[in-house]
Amino acid sequence: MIHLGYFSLLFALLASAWAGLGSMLGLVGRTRGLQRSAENAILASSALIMVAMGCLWYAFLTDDFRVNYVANYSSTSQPLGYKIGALWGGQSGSLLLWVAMLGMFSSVMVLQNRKKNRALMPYAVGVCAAVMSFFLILLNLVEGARPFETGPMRPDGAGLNPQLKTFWMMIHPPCLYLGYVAFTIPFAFAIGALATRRTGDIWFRTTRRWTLFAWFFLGLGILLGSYWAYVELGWGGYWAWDPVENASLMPWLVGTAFLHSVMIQEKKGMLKIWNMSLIILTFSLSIFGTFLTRSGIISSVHSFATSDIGPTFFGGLFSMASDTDGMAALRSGSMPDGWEPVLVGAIVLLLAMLASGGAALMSGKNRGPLTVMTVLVFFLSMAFLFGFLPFVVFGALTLLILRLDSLKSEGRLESVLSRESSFLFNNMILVGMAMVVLLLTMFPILSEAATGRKVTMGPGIFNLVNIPWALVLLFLTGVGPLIAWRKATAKNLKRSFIVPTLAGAWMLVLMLAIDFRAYGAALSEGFSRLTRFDVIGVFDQIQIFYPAITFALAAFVCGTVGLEYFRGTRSRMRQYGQSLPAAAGTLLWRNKRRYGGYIVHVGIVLIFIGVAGSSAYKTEQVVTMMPGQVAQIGNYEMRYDGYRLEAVDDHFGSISELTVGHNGSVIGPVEAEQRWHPNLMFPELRQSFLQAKQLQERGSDETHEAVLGLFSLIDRLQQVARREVTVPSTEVGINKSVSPFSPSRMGEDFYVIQAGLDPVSGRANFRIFINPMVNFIWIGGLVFMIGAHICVLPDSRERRRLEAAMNAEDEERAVA
Amino acid sequence: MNIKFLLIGAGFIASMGLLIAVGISQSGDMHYYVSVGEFLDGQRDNPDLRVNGKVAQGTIQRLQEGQEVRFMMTDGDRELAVHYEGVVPDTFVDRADVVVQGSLDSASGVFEAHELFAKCPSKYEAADGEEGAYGTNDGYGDPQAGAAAPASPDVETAGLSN
Repeated sequence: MIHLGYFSLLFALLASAWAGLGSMLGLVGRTRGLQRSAENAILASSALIMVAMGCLWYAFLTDDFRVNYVANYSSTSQPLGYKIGALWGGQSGSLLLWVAMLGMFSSVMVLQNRKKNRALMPYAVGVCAAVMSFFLILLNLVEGARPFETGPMRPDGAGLNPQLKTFWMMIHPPCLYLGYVAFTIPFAFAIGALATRRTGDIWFRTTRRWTLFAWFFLGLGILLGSYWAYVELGWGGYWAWDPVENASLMPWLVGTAFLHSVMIQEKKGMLKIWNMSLIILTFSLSIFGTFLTRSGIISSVHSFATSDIGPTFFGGLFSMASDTDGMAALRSGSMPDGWEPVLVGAIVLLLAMLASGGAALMSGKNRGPLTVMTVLVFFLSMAFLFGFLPFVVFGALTLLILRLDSLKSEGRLESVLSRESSFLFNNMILVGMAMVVLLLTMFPILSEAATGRKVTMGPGIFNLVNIPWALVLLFLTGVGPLIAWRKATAKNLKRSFIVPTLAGAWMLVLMLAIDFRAYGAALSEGFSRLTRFDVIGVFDQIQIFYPAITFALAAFVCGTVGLEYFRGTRSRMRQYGQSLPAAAGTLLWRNKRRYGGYIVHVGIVLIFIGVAGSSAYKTEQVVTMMPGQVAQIGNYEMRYDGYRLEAVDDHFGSISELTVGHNGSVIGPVEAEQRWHPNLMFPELRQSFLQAKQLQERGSDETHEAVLGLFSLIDRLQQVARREVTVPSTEVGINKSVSPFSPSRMGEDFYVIQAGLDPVSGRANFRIFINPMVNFIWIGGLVFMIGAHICVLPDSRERRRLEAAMNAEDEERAVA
Repeated sequence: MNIKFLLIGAGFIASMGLLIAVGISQSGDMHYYVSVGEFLDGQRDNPDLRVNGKVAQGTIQRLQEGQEVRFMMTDGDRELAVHYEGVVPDTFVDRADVVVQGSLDSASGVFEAHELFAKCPSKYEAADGEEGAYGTNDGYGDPQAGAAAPASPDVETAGLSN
């Protein structure tokens, strides 16, 4: 099976390389046969990747520890679900998953467009094939990234990192990757549109679903990642501006900008250059995100990977080193071990392309495709020399510049108060925020390269720069959908915004009135700082107002959405005499894109509320308790009833049993747990652990004693072996309130971490967080999901528009 | 009309730039850090500094049910004893990459940290890789032998220890 997997991957590379080459040759010769062959090669390549993935899964399920990857990320005692999920627990597997998804998507694209979009398809196939080839080169040729590297048979594996062993971590990476990868398809079509000068709205209408799909899964992946961080990392928060988090946020922000600004191109034929740039940037940031996540070039609290693939993405083959320190590798530019096959492959590919280019030159016609191909060949060779990411960015931008003349705007901005402008501002903010995040994320690297001094960036700087603009963005969320096209009149403004503004103002006054003393003090303090030019001091005071402003803006946005929905429903009821539910339902159903979008907006508003509430009003406390004691934390009482010791699956640990009360009434039991995952390579430890596990399975009373024995065995072993022989992990205990009937703790979490427990006496430390409103984030996430689903449901009107656009284009070409 | 848009755009970029500049220079949220060697050579007397290194294998002592730790931090060459009171994250294990903030207690020669950040060992998988499950050179067992032949009978003696 290992060999089958190995060779499948190799042939997948050959097939995808042919797909790239064949589609270009097919373009030059205008031969449908070659194009078809290239498309079939994409299908073949994806099938082969699937086979390879199946083989790797087989190795995981059969505990084949000859395979290094399996030995590193699985163990005999790993539960079945995690053996399956371990496939993306490390670098090679993640890359394999990436390319498998790309294969899947490209295949779907090929099958959907067998008869459609014939002008764009060869380019789209070529781009997809190039991206696939890049990842397959990594998987086949780069040491450490190859999934089927083998070593001696080992009795057991190291096991997946315990912190990855949660349900959320099993679905979070695939979700994120679905997002990253799916942006390839709109990007490929954009490149095709640029190359063929078919820069009308076909390319983005064709890929609208793909874009939404990618954007949806990226957003969902980010949310799942935050949820994982919240329940698993045990620090009471969900977002830390960690490089890996930032890596996923940046393409999502730019993708969001793209989704909005294509609407302007659709309606007005404006912002064409901007849209092209946005999709190029989104795809580049997706690649960059993958690179940042998988390379460990910037230290991150949860970079579980460090590796040798970084420079290939970023700095090119010639600086690729088997050094784990990416920076050192980037600077030293040393020749890596095992680079020769890559170089040879690159040269062969290059020669093949030059030859095909020459052949095309001989034939002497079709100058257009020829230019494009020369450019492609040039940049593909650049890719091998300087790395994939610069290749993507500069290649695509060069093409964009070459095509500026066919991207002329059909309209112009007439007023600052118009829908076009509000979309433009929303775009500026989204892209600006993404760039700020990029700059701040890269700052440690830039600083070290420039001054040689190492720095870390705290979350404070990110918050300082991003929050004010995020609030403006929230405001525009309300403005954008209602303001008139072209130029808003006083009448339009009055009609659309009086009610929402009143709602927002009322909320602001209410919020300020609740604690007017504190706000007054903050205001005067802020002014006194302002006179001293203490900008940070001023912002410290402004921060106090953030929750109130957020809630007010939330009321404003919900007001606009509610008003719009109410008006639409009312007019349907009048016009067609429908009942209220029927009118509301048909309104939504007939305008899926529009109302689905509004629902997404409401989801985002809820997320804003959750973030504002939970970061402003959070409390934290550490208590040390003996079993039977009661502690008071804010409005909560927590009784420590007792604890039990367990040995299950691949870990043993202590679980504390707690009863939580709120204002004197019991709200439920909570269990917090600490786990130790023993290193089963120690025979002694292995035996004792399995024994304890057996006792547990039989339900024997001796389990407690056996686990106590494990604890002392570990102490002893650590002294002898002079290293830690277990890996800890924490399971937090959470009492959630998602019921609307308990207004005093609406959306609030009582969150307990067991931060140490003496297994003999039961004396324990608990770290407790009270996180108000945090559940609004997850509820907002659900609303976002529902809204996005409504947006992608089939819509006959959309289909007709696409067909009309295609027909119009064909006629235009026929006339010309 | 275009002038208006240009002005708004410029103002927007300027405000972001200003906030970044202020954030980096004033907020105190950007920290320089040094390696263990750099610290011992030139920064011993610095009253508050971040030092980066790896947890020396087998030196972690967890006290007070995990509320306090002592360990040796190394840059592969030099070592520094560190003491930290507080809850440590799960990522704090042998060979984890750590950053501690604090100062050197000149009397004891121990670095008293008030902040501790830990990142997973850069190669989690190395647990059974080149360095072996049994540590490097402690005579407890040969990693290669242990890896190739499971359960060598002479070390597999102890059962439950109490």
